Amino acid sequence: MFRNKWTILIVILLFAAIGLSACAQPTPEVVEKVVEVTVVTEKEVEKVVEQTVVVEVEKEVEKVVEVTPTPEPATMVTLNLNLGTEPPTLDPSLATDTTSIEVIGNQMVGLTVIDPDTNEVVPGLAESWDISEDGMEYTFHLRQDNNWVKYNPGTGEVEVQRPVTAQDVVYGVKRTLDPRTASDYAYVLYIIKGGEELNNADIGAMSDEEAQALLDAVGVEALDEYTVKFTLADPAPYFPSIASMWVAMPMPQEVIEAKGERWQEPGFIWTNGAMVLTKWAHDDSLQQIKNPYWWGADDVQIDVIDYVMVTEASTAYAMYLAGDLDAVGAPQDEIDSIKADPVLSQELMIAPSPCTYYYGFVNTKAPLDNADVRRALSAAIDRKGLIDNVTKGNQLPANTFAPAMIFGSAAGDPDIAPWALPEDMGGTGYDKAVELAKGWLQDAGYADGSELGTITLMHNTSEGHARIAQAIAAMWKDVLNIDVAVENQEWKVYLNSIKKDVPLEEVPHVFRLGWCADYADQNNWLNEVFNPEMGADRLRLQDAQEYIDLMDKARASTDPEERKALYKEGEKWLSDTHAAYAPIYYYTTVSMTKPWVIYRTAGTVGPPLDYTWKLDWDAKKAALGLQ
Amino acid sequence: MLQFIVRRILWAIPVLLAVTFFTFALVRAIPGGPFDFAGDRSLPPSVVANLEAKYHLSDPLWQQFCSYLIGDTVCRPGDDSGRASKGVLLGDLGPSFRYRGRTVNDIIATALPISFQLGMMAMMLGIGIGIPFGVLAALKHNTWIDYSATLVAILGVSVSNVVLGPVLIWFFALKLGWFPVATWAAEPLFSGIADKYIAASEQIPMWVNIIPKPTVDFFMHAALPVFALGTALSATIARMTRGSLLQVIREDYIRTARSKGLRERAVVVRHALKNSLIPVVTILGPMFAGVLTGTFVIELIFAIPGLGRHFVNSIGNRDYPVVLGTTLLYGVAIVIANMLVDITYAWLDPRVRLE
Amino acid sequence: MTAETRSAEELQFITRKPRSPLTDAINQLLQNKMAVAALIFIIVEVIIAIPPVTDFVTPFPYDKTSLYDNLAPPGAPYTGRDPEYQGKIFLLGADYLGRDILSRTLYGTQVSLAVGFIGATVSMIVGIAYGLISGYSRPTIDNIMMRFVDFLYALPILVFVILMQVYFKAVARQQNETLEPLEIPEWFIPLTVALFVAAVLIGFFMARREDGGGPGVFLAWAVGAFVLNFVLFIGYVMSTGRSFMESMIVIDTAMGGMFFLFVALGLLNWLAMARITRGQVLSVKKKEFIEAARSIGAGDRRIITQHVLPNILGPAIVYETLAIPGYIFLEAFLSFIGLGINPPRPSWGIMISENVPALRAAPWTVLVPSFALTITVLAFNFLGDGLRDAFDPRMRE
Repeated sequence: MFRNKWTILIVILLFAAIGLSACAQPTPEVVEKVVEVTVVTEKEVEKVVEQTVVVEVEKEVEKVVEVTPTPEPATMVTLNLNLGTEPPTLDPSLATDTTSIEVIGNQMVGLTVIDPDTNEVVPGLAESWDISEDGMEYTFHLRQDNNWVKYNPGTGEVEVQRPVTAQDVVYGVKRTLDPRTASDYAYVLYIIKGGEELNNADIGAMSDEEAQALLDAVGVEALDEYTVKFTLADPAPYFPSIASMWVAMPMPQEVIEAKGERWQEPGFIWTNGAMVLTKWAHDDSLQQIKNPYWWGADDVQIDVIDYVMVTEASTAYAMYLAGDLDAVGAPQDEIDSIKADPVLSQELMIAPSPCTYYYGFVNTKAPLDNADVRRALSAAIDRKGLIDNVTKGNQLPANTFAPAMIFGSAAGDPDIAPWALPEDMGGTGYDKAVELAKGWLQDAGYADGSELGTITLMHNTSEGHARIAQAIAAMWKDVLNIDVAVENQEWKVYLNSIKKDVPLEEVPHVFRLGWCADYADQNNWLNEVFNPEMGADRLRLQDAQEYIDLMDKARASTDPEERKALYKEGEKWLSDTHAAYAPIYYYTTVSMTKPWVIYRTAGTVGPPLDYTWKLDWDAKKAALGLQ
Repeated sequence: MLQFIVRRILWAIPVLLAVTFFTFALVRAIPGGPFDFAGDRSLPPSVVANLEAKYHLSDPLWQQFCSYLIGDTVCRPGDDSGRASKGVLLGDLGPSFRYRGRTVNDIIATALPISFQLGMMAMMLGIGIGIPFGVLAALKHNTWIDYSATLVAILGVSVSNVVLGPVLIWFFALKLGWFPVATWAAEPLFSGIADKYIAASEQIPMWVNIIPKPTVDFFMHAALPVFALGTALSATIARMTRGSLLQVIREDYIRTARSKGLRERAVVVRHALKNSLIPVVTILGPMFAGVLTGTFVIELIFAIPGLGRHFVNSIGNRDYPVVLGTTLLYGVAIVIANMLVDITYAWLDPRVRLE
Repeated sequence: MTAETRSAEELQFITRKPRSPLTDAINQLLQNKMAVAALIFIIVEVIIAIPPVTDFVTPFPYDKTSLYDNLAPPGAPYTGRDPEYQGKIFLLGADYLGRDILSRTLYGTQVSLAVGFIGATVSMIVGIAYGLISGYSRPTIDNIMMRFVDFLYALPILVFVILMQVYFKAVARQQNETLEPLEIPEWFIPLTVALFVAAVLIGFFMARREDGGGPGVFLAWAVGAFVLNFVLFIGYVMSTGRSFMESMIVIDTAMGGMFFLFVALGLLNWLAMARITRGQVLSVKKKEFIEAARSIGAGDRRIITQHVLPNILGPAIVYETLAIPGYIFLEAFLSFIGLGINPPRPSWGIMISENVPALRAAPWTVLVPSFALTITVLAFNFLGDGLRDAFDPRMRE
């Protein structure tokens, strides 16, 4: 007993001693030393660049000339950003979430890249590509100056490993599709011939030869060292977008096989992009430095990106105000005061984002089994009022599913659900929409909304969703006199209670969801989400054959204009005539950016490519008092 | 004494086994699995099947539990797919489903030391403020000192950390600029050892991380979260001390001691305080266990990479091994804390025998 | 105060004519100004919480939204279209949907007071009973009971709560459409009230008898009445031909989603109370006066009610009054994840947590419910201190 008492006492004393000694010790000036070391590295790096440039293709040299040479900075140009959460993985085959993809997008480059400004597909690792007549074969010509690099934590230097070849792309694609990798997003690559068969196979029960045969049957092959050919299962005009995705990136076979699951740690991981992973303190921070050997390195001004992982929005905002972050998402409730503040309002930036917020109706559940009732509910949502007073992020009222930046979108087209749009956007405005809604309710045989009984509106547990749900419930009550029970459930429970196979008496009438683009094509929206034969069919669409036919036709067509027209018809069917769901708004990214940020990306379909940001480094140094 | 500890450790085995078993069963009873959705997309059944096969989730439950407990070599003989688990009994808590490539052991080794540092400092603050103020309030029973101590304590418990945290950040970090806004700045005291692990890209072992280097930066970062957490703890401690001391102060032997002419303070400290600490120590036990293994709200608001978030997020992610690992860790902490409490009883009041 | 004067007072106290402990306690309580003020405050709050009174005193219904008045500062006028509310002002401001903060705080009293009362009562009853048995029993049984507490401590509460949410609420939603709503017959409420009053009176008179065991007996009767009423209620609901699960759901619907909340609160919070009680029992049961009482042939019941219980009640009351904000926040958390009252019904905890994001932009949305919570807890604490002083004969001066 006494021994225990003494140990406790000793521990306490130890802590106290630590506390006391801390006050006496000044902080060692580590920062400066680090700076010196890194500057030295950079000099060395430049030398090496010169050596490698000699080997490179001539086209690149031209590009180099265009760029203004950066004067030697006193310190590294550092970008401070918030990731929000820990990236669950940095393995491109396994990533599913935006955080992982943001980090991967900086350090890896796929065959194509989605331009953060235009959201169009531009060359990445592939300089160009050819499409066969029937649209079934894509041949990508790879750059020959892209190298695998890795960071050496012992010396603090970036080291070139070897060039990235077509074989790495083939390996990456097959690795994603291999069921032993167990990739969540493998299904994206099912469009490649043989992909679905490989991913569905029970490889554990097969002999090695059978497994190898399946792997070989996948429609991706290296024609030579720098040419890779994909053979598709169906024609897919959007395939170059798919080729930009992380699951189709080249991957270094030797490291993955040598290090196993730990290959993604700094020091092990080989990457081929603009940045190199140097530090990954889990749940805390992550650091990437510039890859001096990258072919586009001269365009990259940022030397270091320091990410923190701050989940709480108000804390991140406070860090931004304190100068710890260069940009941050603006907290919803601060937007009003930011807009009113002469200084902060200059830093506010609102950009459209490729996402849509919507309320799904269960189309088979009475009384929502009547399209007029559903349309009345949809029209009775005051989208503009909601945006101005609740969400406050200058979101756009949505009358269709896909937002404007998606190929084939009909967003804002008053032919479709004009009652969802305010007058200045060509719609009817809310007052008119309310009259229409009351009329539809009467057409459906209800003189008053209370005759519908209680409508259950369910959302997943979140403060933001709760606000919107309560606001919309109040609108339905005020305008149509409908009783609404608002419920919420924990995320995964929620997803399970709105599944298609949940019995009708358990499923809620209305549920909320959102959708964000994987790639900028309507196929990813109308077809993959709502086509009962493709997606989860949470709406339980009725008489949907017409819709399915539209989607199939649009998917197979190679004429862009025809596809656009078909998708518009699809939007009209879904959002207006059948009102199978209620689009509410198109998302925006509402962010604050420090004045010294000259260029930034926001609301991108692909990864945000943070390394393309440009800073006025002198201004940042001056503002933060850095040396 | 030694016999008591040994017996309690033996008793802890069935308790922890029961905790493991029930948590294992409960967490699988909630709807939703770790891999049925990516974001809000339902994954194709084939993809889910691949994932479940990789993590052996399609095996019968008894086999999963068996291999969680005593390892793959015993329960899954002949299966060489993927990484072989050694089982909890050998200290292998398995892979995380969510953070692919990390094990539960890695997660705990990284996050627990940080929660431990925060919790330890907050407990020291809580006890350091709580007990003296409790004693003071009891000695000045029903005077303005007592009432204002009560008022402060009530403020301490009824102002939620969700409110206090942002207010502290706003006032002390933004307005006055005294402290950094958030994050944690602990470097291991034995940084030489840590550097070796970093250079080799290895997981730094827990014992290296647990003692922080006492830099000014460390204490500046720790100040606000420790204050926020410590005040709430000290409020409860102060009120319990006061109430309990008031009760003991009236007992016969205190009167005897006083009538013998000893000075009042000596009486209180020597006799009453020691005797009055039994309820205080009782609540300190679970408090210790809870605070040292991580506090969700404080860690969230101050962006501290501790273990608290894993207790909560793992359930949302249906990351079964992390749920089990954190629960088991907390179970161990509770068992140890309550054992120490019972030992302390015997020290505080010799009439209580350790049986 | 010097030692001499105090012992003189004590001498006087000892030589005083012995009176009933309960009368003494009440007199003592009434002399404590803080406790009386707290008691009055709590009574006023309880009156406000009675539904017709709440409707009367609040300017707005709790769910009246006025989007264009979102985050209106205190004193701002109502600018919505509804003619019924024209000219009214938001005395203490409005929240993010333009709902009046004052009205919502007053309505919040209903839920939060109930949660505080019931959380504290259930946890005290269960915890004290469990701790008494454990501490008073043989070491082996004590050990087993306490290891069970360790076990419950370690189980992940969140998983429990999600499970309860899933099963209770899913079953409730599934059956709600088929189940008749519960109609409480007119005779039922008077009957339960009468039973409760009778039990309290019996307890009061038994406690007055000099050999009756004092406040412990009174408490035992009051608690007994409480439990009996509860059992009666469930019995009544089940006697209407519903299954147990159906009865639970019907009761939950009748209570606006609060029944499952109370079950969750009760299940989750008695552990600390049990450990505190047991710790006190261990310490008290070896004391001289217990040995003395036992040597003159006092039974276990008498020892527990007269000697052990008063020693436990002090820490128990302090702990429970301090735990009330915990219950109120737990309710907010449970409601937040869907096990509890459904929005837009307010409680203080819900108001605080849903408005925290606006803490900087519109501090009144958080401060008003926080203030209500703080003074209520303060009142409970002063009342608790007063009660404790009053019931502990040694404390009287």
